[in-house]
Amino acid sequence: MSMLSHVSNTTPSSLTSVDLSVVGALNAATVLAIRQESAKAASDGPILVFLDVAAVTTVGASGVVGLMEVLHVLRSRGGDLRLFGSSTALETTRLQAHLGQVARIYETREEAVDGGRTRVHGRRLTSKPGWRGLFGPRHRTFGWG
Amino acid sequence: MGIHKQILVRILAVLVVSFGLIYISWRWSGTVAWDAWWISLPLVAAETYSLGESALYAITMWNARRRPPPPPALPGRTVDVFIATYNEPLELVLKTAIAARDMDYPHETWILDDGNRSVFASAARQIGVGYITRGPEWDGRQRFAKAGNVNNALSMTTGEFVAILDADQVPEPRFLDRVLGYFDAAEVAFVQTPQHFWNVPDRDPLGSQAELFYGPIQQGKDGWDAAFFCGSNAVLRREALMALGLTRYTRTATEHTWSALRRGRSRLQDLLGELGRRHPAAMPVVEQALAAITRAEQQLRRGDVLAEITFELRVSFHAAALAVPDAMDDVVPELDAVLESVDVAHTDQALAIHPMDTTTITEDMATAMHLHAMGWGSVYHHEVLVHGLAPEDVSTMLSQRHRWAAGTMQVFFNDNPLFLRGLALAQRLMYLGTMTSYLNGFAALSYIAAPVVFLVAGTYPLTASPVVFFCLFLPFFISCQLLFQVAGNGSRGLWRGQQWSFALFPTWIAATCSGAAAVFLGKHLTFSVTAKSKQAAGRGFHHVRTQVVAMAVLVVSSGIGIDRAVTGAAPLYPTLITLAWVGLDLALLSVVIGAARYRGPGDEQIDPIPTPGELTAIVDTDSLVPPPTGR
Repeated sequence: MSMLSHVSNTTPSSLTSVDLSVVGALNAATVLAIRQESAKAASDGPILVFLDVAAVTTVGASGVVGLMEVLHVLRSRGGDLRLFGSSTALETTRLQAHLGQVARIYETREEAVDGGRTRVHGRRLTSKPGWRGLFGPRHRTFGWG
Repeated sequence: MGIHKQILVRILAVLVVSFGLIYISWRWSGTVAWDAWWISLPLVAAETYSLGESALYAITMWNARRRPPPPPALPGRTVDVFIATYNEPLELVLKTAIAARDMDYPHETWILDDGNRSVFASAARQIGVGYITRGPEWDGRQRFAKAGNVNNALSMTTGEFVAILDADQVPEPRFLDRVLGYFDAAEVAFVQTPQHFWNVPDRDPLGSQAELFYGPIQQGKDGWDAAFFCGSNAVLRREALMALGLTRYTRTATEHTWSALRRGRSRLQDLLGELGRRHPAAMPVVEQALAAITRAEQQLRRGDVLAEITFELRVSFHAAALAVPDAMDDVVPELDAVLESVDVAHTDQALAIHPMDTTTITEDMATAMHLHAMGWGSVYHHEVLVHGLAPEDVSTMLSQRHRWAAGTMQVFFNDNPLFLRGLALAQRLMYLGTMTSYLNGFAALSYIAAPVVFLVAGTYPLTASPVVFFCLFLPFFISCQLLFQVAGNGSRGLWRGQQWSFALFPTWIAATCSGAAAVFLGKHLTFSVTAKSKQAAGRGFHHVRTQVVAMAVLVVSSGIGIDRAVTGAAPLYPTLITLAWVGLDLALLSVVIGAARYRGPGDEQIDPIPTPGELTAIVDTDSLVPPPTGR
């Protein structure tokens, strides 16, 4: 499917937008529902989905993978997914190291609308590598460390 | 394995390695016939390889683990049971689906139909199970065979655990109850149970039962926390699979974007040159797109977030295309292709993330290896809970073994466990042992060629006194056989296993070459689904002709050797030793005769899980009408 030819003749921020939110766990079930809603909303043309993640309480790898699939669905149709909201669960999870490299969680919906171009301060979503970490004991993880 | 047997196994393991090292040191130090290096070197290399394999087997058995009964399955787990099918008959798949549906532990059953057959969708609805097939997003894109089928289903279901069954693998009602308890340990990513085939006669002419593998070897690997996932009869933790997919995706995301941008630049530069001749007015569009790629590369260098970089690239391409409306037809398809390949959401594929490994046709082993490398654990549960169908003719069996071997060697060359970050040393060795076992084809070739060369031409492949040879070789050989038998722990088919390991040398060699060609030359490896019924009856010998020719050559060369010894042209004792060697080769190769003559199971093979009446009613009626939607 052409991504370019579906983009409307306006700036991206003026694409049709849909607001969704996640409350509670960000897991396979919740993101599947978001994906289905997003796919339905995007069936008539490209849309921007603004996903409020402020009320997320727990995050699983399935949830993050599901978000990437939502992004995939939307971008395949010329649209985009923008995450926003301050969630302690999302900020503290080790999965953030993965998510932060790929997508940004904007602080507010307004910031998400213009793709963060008017951000007051930058947010690093991945932890900076430090020299101390080089000599620490090796941390066995389940993949999100 | 009891403590006494374990001690005995460890003593034998030490003896195997010790005798083996003494023998092979002696062989390399003074017995290589350098004047006949072309046969002498391959032979000593094969012997060294065999020592390595024996050592790896000894290490595997050192820690064999017989687990106590599993803890009971906690209530409240959510489980999806996947039955993967591509071209199997409806009756076969439905029988599995009904048995899966009727398992005791609450779960949802899904038929994953890669054949997209509407009659399967109807039947699934009738028996009350789910039906999943690939959607239009897969059209024209790489499908990744069974791995793609499972990944597609993973993206459409939500259970905490996923049980995977091949279409012919019929589970007992207690299957989930027996394995889910292991997942109380948070680090367990998957539990594998044995594959057992009910349509195999006791003499097992095709070597299907693999009791050594689904027994002592898996228990040995389990002891080192490296039990293998074998693609079916297993339950996996969804979070583990997703964590694996996510890690692999993000680890390569930046690199992928870099290379896609480079390729995109190259494509657009080609297009620019072409437009100069064909449509100069459209050139500014491509020039602006190239400038956008340069900006994207700068952003990537700065470490900006990938989704923002690729979105901005799309916006820039879009603006450039709109600036020259009459250039759309000429440039948009190319710009689209570049955007798709660059996009961080992998819009050039059907899914953004593939949890099951899609880089090889043995996705099960590769997935398990990467899960282990991430620190996840595994369990081998040694209890037959699923009953399946083995190949019923030699051709299908050879095709199946070739696929396993080629896929495994593909992983060996592409993703070698020795260099994979995160695996413990023992886990590396467990994977290495399985992968290198397929190199046995080359060793077998040496073991066949060397006696022939001596008997026919009188060329010695080694220079040593027969007495010294026996004194050093026999302890190694006997201790190896003892270890094999003791560690085999009463498994049936140990000798049959050795026979097939040797006799399938043409398959192993071909598979190794296919695996290498796939990795180094980019040749495509085909995932051929194992036929569940007898194929090509009556042509068995045609499929094992290489082995038959090898046997004929061994017999003829024995005759020549005897004649040479009788006439004094060849020394007696070396000839006798070589004849014994030929006898062993023939005994090993003779397994193909029974296989070639095998005409499938007889009536004495009875399916332990009878066909449900419900199935007969569905298959016999015309009630299977296509459902209103595709899935």
